[in-house]
Amino acid sequence: MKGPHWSWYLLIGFVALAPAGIRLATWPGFKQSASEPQMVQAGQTLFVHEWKAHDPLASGGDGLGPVCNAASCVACHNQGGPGGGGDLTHNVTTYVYRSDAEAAARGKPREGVVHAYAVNCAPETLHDLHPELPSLSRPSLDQIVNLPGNLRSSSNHCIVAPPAVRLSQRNTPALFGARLIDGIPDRVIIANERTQRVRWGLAPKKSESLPVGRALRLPDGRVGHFGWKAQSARLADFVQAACANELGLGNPGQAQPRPLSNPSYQPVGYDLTLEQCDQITAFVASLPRPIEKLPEAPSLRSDAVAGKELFHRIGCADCHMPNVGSVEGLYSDLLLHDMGQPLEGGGSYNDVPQQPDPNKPPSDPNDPPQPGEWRTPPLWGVADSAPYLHDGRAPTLEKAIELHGGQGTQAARNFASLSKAEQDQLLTFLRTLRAPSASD
Amino acid sequence: MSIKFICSCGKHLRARDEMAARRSMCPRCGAPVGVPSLRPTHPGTPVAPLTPQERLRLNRNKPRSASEALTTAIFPTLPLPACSPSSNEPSPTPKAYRRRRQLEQHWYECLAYPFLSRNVLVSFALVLSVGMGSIVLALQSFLQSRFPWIAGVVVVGLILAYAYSTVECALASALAGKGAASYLPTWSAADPLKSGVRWLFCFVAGPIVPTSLAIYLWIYGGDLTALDWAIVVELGGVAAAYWFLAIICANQRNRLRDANPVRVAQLVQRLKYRAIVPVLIAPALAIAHVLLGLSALTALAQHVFAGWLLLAGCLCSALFWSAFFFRLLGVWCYCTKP
Repeated sequence: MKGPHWSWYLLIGFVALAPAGIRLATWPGFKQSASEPQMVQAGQTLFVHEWKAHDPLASGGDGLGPVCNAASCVACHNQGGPGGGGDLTHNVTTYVYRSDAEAAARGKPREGVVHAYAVNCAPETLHDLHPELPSLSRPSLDQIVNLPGNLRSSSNHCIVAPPAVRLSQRNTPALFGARLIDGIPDRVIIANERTQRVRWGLAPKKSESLPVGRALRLPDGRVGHFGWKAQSARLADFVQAACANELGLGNPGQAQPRPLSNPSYQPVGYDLTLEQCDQITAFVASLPRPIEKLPEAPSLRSDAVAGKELFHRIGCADCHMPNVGSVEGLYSDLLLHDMGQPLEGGGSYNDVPQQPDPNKPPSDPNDPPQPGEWRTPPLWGVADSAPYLHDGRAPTLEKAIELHGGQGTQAARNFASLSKAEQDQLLTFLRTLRAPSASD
Repeated sequence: MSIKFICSCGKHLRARDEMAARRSMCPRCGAPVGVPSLRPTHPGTPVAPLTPQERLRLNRNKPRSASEALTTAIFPTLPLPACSPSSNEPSPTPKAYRRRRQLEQHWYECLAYPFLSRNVLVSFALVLSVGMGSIVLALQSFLQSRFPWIAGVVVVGLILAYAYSTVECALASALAGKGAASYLPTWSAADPLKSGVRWLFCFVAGPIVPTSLAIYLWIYGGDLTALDWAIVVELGGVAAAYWFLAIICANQRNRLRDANPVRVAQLVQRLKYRAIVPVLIAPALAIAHVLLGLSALTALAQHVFAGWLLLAGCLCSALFWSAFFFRLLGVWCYCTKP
């Protein structure tokens, strides 16, 4: 019997291999584009520039403000050099306010920042947010969060917010090595999510105790890379949001906030052009990556090596993964993890994708971050970026580990079960993760 | 001194002298097998095994032992196959076999096989679901407290090997032309282990590559698009199809080296249009069961009872369809034997 013509086999082979061929051709790789020196130079000028109202560099808008948290980028990002983290004094206060009417209509609650300063208008106070709150314009962390006695830095009383309001603070993150994080493909972060689920016995996407994180998918399909809530997909988005929210420099990517005391304020135009935003992004992208610097003393060096082994053994590396894709020494999986009720903090730094439906079970990967969910902060440069955790409530690394809850509980318990000498070894290892300036 | 003989499924067997001219069970295909007699059947001829007629005649005049009576009770109507090529009886043709042994004539008759083995298959499915579910829950709950989950994996692996062995009996008995009945493996650990090794070998000798690629794409491919799912399903289908065919090839002559692409291609060519079953239908069902099983294991964390029920149902269905497909393919292979 005569068999099918050879062309049939060819056609079947072509059809079978076509999907794989298309996928291989479109496989996303690590994106890393070098910034032009002129762009970086211009960006550095803008980064350290002290902005003023009607600033000449903000040709189209009202310049700094009307509400802001600082007058320049470097005012907050300065630990270990320009682009580093910030201390507690530069914390940003955020809020979520769901009024009764909004709760009844299941509408999106108001979210935003209570700014520290105001330009040509009355400063924002908590009272502007809700009449039951005091007229306080720059609340400290211990006024917002009911910290344990040993973490309280002053005798301030914690503000009791009405149930409709949730206040929180954000500490300034370091920006070193941001270009490398920006270049990590979305699929690598999603791979972290899947490997964690498989490793923990096909655990559900949201676990209360297992270190199983989730990649935040934004409405446009991209995955969040930056921000405490992974709310920005790209470095450029993060920079645009920071310029608008922190300095009041509205730009095409993010509108500047309106003062709580004057919600009808209308900006005259953009303070920054897209090119200026790109210049700042280019400068931030040019910041060198943090380093891992072993101590000179042989005993400390061996302690650091042993501490690194302990870091993996007790489960810290489950979430603080040393390598993500081709980026080595990051010590983060860039996933959102539930850190438990004590570390809850609502409010958004910039616009969150959407608000979760309270009637929907929180298992949809496209859900916006829950109050207890935080992106695993990269530990590179951690030795030069105190204080720690999202609001800087932990002054030391030891305290930061102790305060891990939710999915980090087991690792914190494992750390507590180590001997004092082993704990010191692990902390010695963490102290080898330095800002780039430590190489000088 | 022991008697060496070959079962019609191809398994090389050995029995003690006192078992001569008695009935036993083949550990591979689970079918009753006659141990050859030590006495010559005809004067002046060398030692040869009893023909079924001779064996029946001999048994009629001999009081039966308890174990033999039990075996006969299990397989009351099944005639014994000829055990050796040196039998006086001429080697029957496949068609003659089908007539005499009542081998399934139509594909749907093979559906009866899993029903005949239902007690064993359902038992395996339940035990496996308990074992697999326990391991997954242990991973999620107790791993951090050093729960000995590896021991659990070994136990489940052993049960899985028994399950493979049971399913393989459907294939081996059909390949040997043995009629419709339920064939079960022995409870000795060695044979299920051999069966497990055979399945593992057939997987490692080919399907592991497309399976690994599919898993790699699922993990590292980001959020899967329709194109990605097409590739994953295609790779899974290729893996499952090759695995099925390689297992059949390895069983035909009981040789692991037959699990190679040339033999697989020859088998596909021999099956002709019937090859659509191992190449398309069985892999599609296998993929559906894998996905259902994964859903069940995922559901365990939130709804333990529902997850376990789903897992047991999935495993039950998987064992049922495996037994059916292997029986069907075994019958077809037997009928198309060159």
